Amino acid sequence: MSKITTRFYFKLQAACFFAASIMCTQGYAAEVTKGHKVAAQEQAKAAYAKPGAPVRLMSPAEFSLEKGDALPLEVELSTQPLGETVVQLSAQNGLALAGQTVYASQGQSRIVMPLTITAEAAALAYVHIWVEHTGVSGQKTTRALAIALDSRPKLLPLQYKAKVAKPYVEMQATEVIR
Amino acid sequence: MIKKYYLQYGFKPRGAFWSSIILAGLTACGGGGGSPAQPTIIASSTASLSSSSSNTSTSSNASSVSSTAVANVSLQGMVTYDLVKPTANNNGQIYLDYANAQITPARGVTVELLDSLNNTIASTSTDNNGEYDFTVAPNRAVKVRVKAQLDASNYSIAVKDNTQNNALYVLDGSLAGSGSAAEQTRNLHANLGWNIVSQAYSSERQSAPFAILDALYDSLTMVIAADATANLPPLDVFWSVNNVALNGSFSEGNIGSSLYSTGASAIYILGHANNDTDEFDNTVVQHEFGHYLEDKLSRSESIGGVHYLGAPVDMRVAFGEGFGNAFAAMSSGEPLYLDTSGAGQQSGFGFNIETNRFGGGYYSEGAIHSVLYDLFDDGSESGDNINLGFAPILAALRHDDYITFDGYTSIYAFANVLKSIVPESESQINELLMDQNIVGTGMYGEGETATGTVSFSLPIYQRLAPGETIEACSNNNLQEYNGLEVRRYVLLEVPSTGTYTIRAQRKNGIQPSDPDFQMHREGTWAGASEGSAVDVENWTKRLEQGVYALNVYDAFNTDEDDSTGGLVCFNVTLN
Repeated sequence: MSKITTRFYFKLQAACFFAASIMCTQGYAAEVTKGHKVAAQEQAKAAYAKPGAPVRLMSPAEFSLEKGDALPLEVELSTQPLGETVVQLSAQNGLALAGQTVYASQGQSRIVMPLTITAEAAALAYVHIWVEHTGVSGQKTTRALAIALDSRPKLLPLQYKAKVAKPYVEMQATEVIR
Repeated sequence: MIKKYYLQYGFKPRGAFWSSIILAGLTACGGGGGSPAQPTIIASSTASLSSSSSNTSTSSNASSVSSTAVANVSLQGMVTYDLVKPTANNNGQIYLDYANAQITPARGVTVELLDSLNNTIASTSTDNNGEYDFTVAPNRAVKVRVKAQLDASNYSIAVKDNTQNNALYVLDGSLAGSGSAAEQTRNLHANLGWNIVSQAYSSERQSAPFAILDALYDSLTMVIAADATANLPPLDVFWSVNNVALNGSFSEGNIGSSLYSTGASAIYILGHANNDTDEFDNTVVQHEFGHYLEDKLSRSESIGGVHYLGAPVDMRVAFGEGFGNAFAAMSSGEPLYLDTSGAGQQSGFGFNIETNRFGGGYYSEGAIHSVLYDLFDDGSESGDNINLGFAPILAALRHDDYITFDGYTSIYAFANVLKSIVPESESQINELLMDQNIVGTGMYGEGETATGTVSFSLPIYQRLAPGETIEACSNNNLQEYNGLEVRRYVLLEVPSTGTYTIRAQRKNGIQPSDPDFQMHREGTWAGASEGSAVDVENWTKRLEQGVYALNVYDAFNTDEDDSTGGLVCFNVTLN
């Protein structure tokens, strides 16, 4: 197995998912479906993601930082050089974003946006990345991405409370009885 | 179906009921607040409705605890939710239209009657009007629970929260007495949670799971109408407000995109407000359901991955994604694919399934969705003189000739089988294909001339018999991982059962290279060889007599990193 595929399989084993651009392994048990014997090792394939703009986030998407800390961040995107790509960044409440937050690109396959993020609150908050691509035919497509910044206080092991998994997410209806 | 009187807050003949629902809806839309809604008990003795539910509930095992005049109470009601539609205005803006949120029946959902200990004493499903009906003993403390699931003998779909241990969403009424009158009505409503003043979500987004189910109900209705024998395996749809467009741990909500996972056999839907929410983007939900259908009722060798409509992609991906887009349009009743996102869900993009602006070719999902939708619809635009509906499309996908075909899934195999099902429509089908620059014929697309700007993409399949050598090239210039030029398809012709060695040796191009193989036999996975040797791959394997479908590629063109890889060609042999 090559280093590349080894990397894939490591991710598969670790988390099963690698989301939109990720390979997701399947079971190893032989079975018969649709009248056909299925080989013991099934095909590894990426998840079937929804259509959208031709963009991938190449830089890391999850960070930890302390409340009050400023974090230099280089947001790197891979995109389609044909057509025009416009990237807009915004921060959720609790984060302060400094740097160029709107970027337009033509003829480039990589976009790098240097930014500084400051955690103003001890919370899990996100930088929103919104990409609009206009293809050579004039057709627009979009894709939203996110970067998570976690500045919540870390709990010591004994501070975690045991939770009993509930079978239902119970929502109280607006109810009219008569 | 949603009717205009919902939109206008008008009235069905049952005025009293609709008045109460409208009040509840107005509270929901304008309220916010965040505290759980309390039931409004108008009058427990009022019995103004006659049951119209066509569903038969399972019998209650409740014993009477009262000696009132009636032996049983007909406990009935309606389940509704707030629906927000994705909308395209004349300025080209795609957005969720919160200003025109509609109170909509929750169709086909499971409704349970619980006792004071939360034991289920009866179960039923809502009908097409969202109505349900139970028979229960008088003066019994009971609660109505609506489960976010569609259940029937041939399908079972549930909406769960992947960030809360895959718990099922339920909408609960209050524990209240069943009364002593002959009838009692309990109407339950799932609120949107949107604050119209702040233009933001401010309380529990209860209606989301039911909006997802209602979109799928339309799809299910179409599938079952096309083939009543279709038996769908259970499907979980995972939605959460924590589901973010960030790749990582699904149990934490980092799902990356709304998607269908063949590994998990589940659909995941984004719910990240002000970034990307898809619970009301019905065509996104139905697109992913199309993938599930193709996977479970037919076959799919699509390798998935990120895709967009302007890039020539692997023909298996093009067919799967094109089918997903077309299926969404077929089951939603409109040829528009709309996907909202951004701040306040007031941005997004959309495209018309009928007017492909992304270029033709067998490798174009835009071309595929246009062909499939034109086969289905009753439009009579230029070049579209056919109206098959969904039944023959589903029949082709489920046909044994398609499922056991020894090549890969593509528009060619599908169209060829479809033409055998509706031979009288062959010329119209060919016309649609040619309009999208798909000119190859037969199951293998022989004679295709569209290259997709890739010099080595034709013929679509190369054939390889023992002792022969062919050249197969791989590149990632158009798109990493699933681009048209990444993999070459080879039909291995095995004359007799035995042990064979398939070998790929770098001939020219990038160095180092890393050739790899994946193989199928009649639509089922037959294994992969992904060795680490530089510039060469040897795969010794026992092969049965017949034909295998092999795809050859360079690992550096599939590693999701377009800074690695490039054009490389291999000599491929079978011995």
